[in-house]
Amino acid sequence: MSIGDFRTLNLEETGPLYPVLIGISTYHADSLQYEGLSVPEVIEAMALIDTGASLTAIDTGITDRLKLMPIDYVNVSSVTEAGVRAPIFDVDLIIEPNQLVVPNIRVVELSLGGGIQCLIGRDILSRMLLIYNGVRNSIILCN
Amino acid sequence: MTESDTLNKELETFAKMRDKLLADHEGKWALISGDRLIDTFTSHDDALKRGYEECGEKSFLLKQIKRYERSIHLLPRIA
Repeated sequence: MSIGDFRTLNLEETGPLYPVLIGISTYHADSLQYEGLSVPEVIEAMALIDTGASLTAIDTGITDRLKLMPIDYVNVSSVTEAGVRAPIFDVDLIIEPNQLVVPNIRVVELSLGGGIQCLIGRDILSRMLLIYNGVRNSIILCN
Repeated sequence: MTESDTLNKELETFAKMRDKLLADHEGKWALISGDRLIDTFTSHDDALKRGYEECGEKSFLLKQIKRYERSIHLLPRIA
């Protein structure tokens, strides 16, 4: 079992933040390398663990920097907003504290703001154990 | 090509083939480039791999064949 334990100063205030790396998907990188093209560097990002999100989301700035092309579109809805059409991209996500790689996943692109570049949704959490330790101000993710 | 044009052709192709795909391949993933259905796949992983093998840096659509397309739900952040 790989265990990542990330502490913040005030979990109640910041919410369950977790550092991640976001890169183009492994299959996309293989294709670029086969064509002799350069592979964009992975991007350091701060993710919010969001049990209310059914799918992992990344900010528009990330998709621009990685020069990603959408592979699908979906409707996104929330309690306050009706369906909005948003593009889906394929990426690799690396959970930093334990270097846990989640390869070739579908993520939806949204304008997240607030210093958050990624929402880790239930699609990723379904593969892991999440412990929210409010007493220690720590978040533990393991697989 | 503008972002709004991206995958328009592929989405049109999927819409045209949807009934036939639903009848024969419901639940699988359809891989489409332009007006061509490359194949259907049981796993998203296999479909994505084939997408890059076949299309490289050309755009392709990878869509699950479902009777009803569900929305992605997000809860709003309060602060």
